[in-house]
Amino acid sequence: MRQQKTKPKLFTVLVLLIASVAALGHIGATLAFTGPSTPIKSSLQPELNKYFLGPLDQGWSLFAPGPYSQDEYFTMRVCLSSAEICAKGSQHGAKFSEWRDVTAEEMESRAGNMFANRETKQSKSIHGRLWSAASDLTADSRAEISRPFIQGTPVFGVELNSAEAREKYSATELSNLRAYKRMEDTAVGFASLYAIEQWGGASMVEIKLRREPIVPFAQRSDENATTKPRETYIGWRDTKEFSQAAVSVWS
Amino acid sequence: MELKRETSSAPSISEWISKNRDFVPKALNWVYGWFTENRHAPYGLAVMRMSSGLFILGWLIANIPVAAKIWGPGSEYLEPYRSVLGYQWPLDILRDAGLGFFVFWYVMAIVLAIAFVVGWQTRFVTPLFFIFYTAINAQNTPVSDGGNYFIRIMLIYLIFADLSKHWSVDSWLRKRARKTKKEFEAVTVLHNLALCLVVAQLCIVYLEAGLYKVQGTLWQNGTAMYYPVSSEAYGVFPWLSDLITTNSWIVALITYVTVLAQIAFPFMLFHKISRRIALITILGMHIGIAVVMGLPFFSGIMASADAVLVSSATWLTIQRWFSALWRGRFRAKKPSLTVSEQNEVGVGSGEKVSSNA
Repeated sequence: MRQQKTKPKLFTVLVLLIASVAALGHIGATLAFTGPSTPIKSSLQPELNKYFLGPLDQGWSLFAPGPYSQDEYFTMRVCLSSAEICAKGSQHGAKFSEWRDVTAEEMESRAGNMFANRETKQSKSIHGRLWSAASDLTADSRAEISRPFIQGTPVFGVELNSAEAREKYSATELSNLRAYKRMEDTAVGFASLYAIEQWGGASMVEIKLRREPIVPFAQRSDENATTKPRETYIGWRDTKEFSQAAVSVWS
Repeated sequence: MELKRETSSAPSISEWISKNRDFVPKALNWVYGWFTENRHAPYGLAVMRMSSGLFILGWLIANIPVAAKIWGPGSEYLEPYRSVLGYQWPLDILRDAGLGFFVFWYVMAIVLAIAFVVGWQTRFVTPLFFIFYTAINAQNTPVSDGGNYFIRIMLIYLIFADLSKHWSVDSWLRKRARKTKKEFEAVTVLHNLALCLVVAQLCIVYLEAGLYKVQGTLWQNGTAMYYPVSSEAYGVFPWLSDLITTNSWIVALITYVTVLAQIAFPFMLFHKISRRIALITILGMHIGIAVVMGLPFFSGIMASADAVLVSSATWLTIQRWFSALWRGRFRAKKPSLTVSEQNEVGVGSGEKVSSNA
């Protein structure tokens, strides 16, 4: 051990003490926040979650515990007629687009390109979050999201911030419904802008999330091996409205 | 056989305590000295600054054609999602920004990235760079990868570090003006604490990534590596993925080495030999992820932080090697260490430049 030649200065000692305590506290909190659920983590909530909101947000379960093992696709179609005609269906003259696989289109530029831009991840990243939000819903709520909610009717038939919703659902259920609704609104918003880009606009959108598991390792050499895709279906929704600046970027 | 009676007294705790009565003050003195005498890892931090800055710069440039759509006004559809993420001013400044302001912000982020890479006014540039870069990321966190999250946190730590002591425009300007930089003790303390935070964060990332993996069945049975590289999203070069995954031994070995290297990483830092093995293995893993999974910015940013774990002596040896290679093309002149470099690596005190890593 080296001997300190000069006498420690009070100011430096204070800085060292305060900054060390802050640094140790931060690293301890990071371990608690990013680690698995433990009594320590639970006892530190909700302050822990608040501290890691924003720029300190992180999670390091990279490709774990299960690695990325399926291809995820965001598919959609739109109704190109006015909302009133769309509501009556094709027998009344409503025009619908074909189903489009947005993720497959976005990823075309990624094939063989290490340096592809982030547009290639856009619909896939929405897919991941919407899928997991839908998975947290009860079976009844999952069945409900496949129904159409159009012409101003709120999804689940009730405003989720209303007193009626608080009466209808438990606190956990309501929290999951709100988290899902935020992601659904994001996905519908994305689909609305995509409709502007592709067809110049639409009045309604319909979304299907598809997951195709990778062929199991043991069957990797079998060219005829297939896997069963899974889907999450979100029924017809009104398109969202955006600022002129947003529309002009997508037009 | 008769046992001989011990003539010397048996070791006891009280004896050890009386012999090492000054252990605590000595230890505290050592800690104080470590934090106040030198700004540690100046070359490692310079390499981290340059390499992570270059990767961020490359990432910003690669995304120019789609930036307005992904992070600019075109990202308005993410408002329901991002409104609850907790980004506050100035990090949420782009949420209602028009195209003109966004373009200005993006260009400024590129300019700051260049200033960061070359090490110009890093005390001011680093916090500004953090704000400009994070505000862009905050617009669309779903498209961010681990590298984006990681460097954002690292930039917060690096605000407190002296990043321009070497290999920077600032140090070149100081040398040119024959000025020596006055180093305040309290600032040195913050620099060294920032370095500790960088290393601690690195250890947390690798250890947790490894520990989460061992809980997964596919990681346990040695096939996990096959799945992402066989997907459309991460199998950027299908022929390369097929080549690697054809042989089950290769798949199992890569899967297991990945987990072992990540879990063992923090513990392998304690000895210079094991540290070298850990750094080379992790670097190999990052190169593999960059090429096979098509994630060069993620891997590059993560690997750039490992540079602080390589000693100044090694970085100077690498610099001399490059320098010799460069000069060899023009004239036969053997480069030597400057006086300040010799002091940095302790050549005068017997530490060999090439013997440390």
